[in-house]
This record gives sequence, structure tokens and C-alpha cells, in this order.
Amino acid sequence: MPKFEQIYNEHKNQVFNLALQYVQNYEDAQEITQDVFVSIHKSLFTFKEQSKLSTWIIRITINKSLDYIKAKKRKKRFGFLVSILHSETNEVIYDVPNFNHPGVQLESKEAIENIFKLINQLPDNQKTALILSKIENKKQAEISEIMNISIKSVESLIQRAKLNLSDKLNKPKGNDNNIVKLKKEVVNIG
Amino acid sequence: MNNNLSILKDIQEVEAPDFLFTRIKQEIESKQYNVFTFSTTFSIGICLLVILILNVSFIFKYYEILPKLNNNEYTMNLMSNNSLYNE
Repeated sequence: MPKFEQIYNEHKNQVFNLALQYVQNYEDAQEITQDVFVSIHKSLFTFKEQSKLSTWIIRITINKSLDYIKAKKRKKRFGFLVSILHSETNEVIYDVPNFNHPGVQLESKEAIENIFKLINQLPDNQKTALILSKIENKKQAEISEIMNISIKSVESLIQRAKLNLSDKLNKPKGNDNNIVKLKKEVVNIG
Repeated sequence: MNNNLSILKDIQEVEAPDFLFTRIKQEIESKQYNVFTFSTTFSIGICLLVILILNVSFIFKYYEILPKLNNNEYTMNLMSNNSLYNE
């Protein structure tokens, strides 16, 4: 079994980038990465080598990322119970989530941000399959091992995710002008 | 849809910040010295409280039943000691 520091050096970028794809925020990705490696350190002795180490680490990263997102949503939901003003300065302390993905170039930032907004609305398993396939460029066999499902299920998840995204993109919601603008941006850059 | 998603391939890989390992080590070390977390302490406390309540309720029930047992022995002329003959 390799030492913890060696494991960290080999996998830190993979974990960090995967967390970034889920939360699209540099600081949040740091927190998730920290949680992942603390968790790895805690349960390294329980790893029975039934799968590859990298597969195991990716699974932990995905679970921690999804848990982080759920915890953030819960905080938002119950935010009305807690004062949003700092007790001493009366400044608003509510942290509005912002798109801060350092891997995204400035020229395509708006389009990618809009795509991520739609991806974030997908169910967890579809979101995971899509991220692993389209952003992490993993093959379906790898994804099926990571998600512990069959290759057909992976295909089906990706197809359903694309259909859902397509529906959301085509569905007029609120101001139709914004939707038309979004479609133009995405089509032009894509 | 595939054209729209192809834009995601433009996302570049980012280096994890160097200070992260220091933070991770600090968190691991702080957890090693903190064997009893809040949740562990709370769970143990709840278990002890439940055991205490059960013990107290058994003791009260025993003292409620005890006079009734003594009454039954007296009316049925049953001896509570080991002597064979009534003296």
C-alpha cells in the first residue's frame, strides 16, 4: 500500500478537478478535496483492493461533492431561520454561490456557466455520468466501474441527461428573450 | 445537444493549490487527538441516560410490588424464611 503522501501527490489534481466540475467554485473545491483526503487517510486500511485505488478515490470524491451540494442547499433552505446580518457590523453574511471555475476561459465563461446551470438541475446519477463522460473524458467501461453499474446503464444515463438538458434548453421559462440569447450563445460557441 | 456539450471540452485542468496538503495534515492531526467527537459523546450520554432511567423504573416497580408479595405470603400462611415448622 503506497504512503498517504504519495497517494495525495498522484491524485490531488484529479480529485480537485472533479470536485470543481461539481461545484464550479474554486474555494468549495478546495474544501471538498480536503474532506476527500482526510476521508482517504481515515479509511485507507479498509481499502481491500477489490477495485483500483483511483476508482475508489473517484467514488469518494463524487460522494463528498454530492454531499457538499446537498448540505449547501439545506443551509439555503433554512436560511430564513438565521439572521443574514452580521451581529456587529450589520453587513449581510449570506454567501451567494458564484461561478468561479479557473479552468474556464473568459471568452466561453458565460456559455459554460449557463450549461452548468442546467447540468446542476439534473438528478445526481445523470449529472455524474455526464460529468465523467463529457468533461473528465472517461470511457463508458471506466464510468460503469466507478458508478458500479452496467455499461448499458451508463449509456442510458447519458442519453437521459442529454434529453433532459435539451428539454430544459427548449423550454420557455420566464423571459423568452433570455432563452433565445442563451441558445444563440451556446450554438455560436459550440 | 452534442454540439452544445462539446463546449465543455474547452474546460482546462487546474492545479490543486500547494497549501492544501498542509491543511489536510492539520485536520488529520487534530482528529487524531480528538478521540471523542461531539456525536460519540452525545450517543454515549444518551445510552447511559436510558440505562439509568430503566434501572430507576425497575427499582420503583420492585418496591411497588414488594408489599403485595408480603401480603400474599401472610394470607396464604407461607413462610418467607427457611424454618420448616411454625413457631
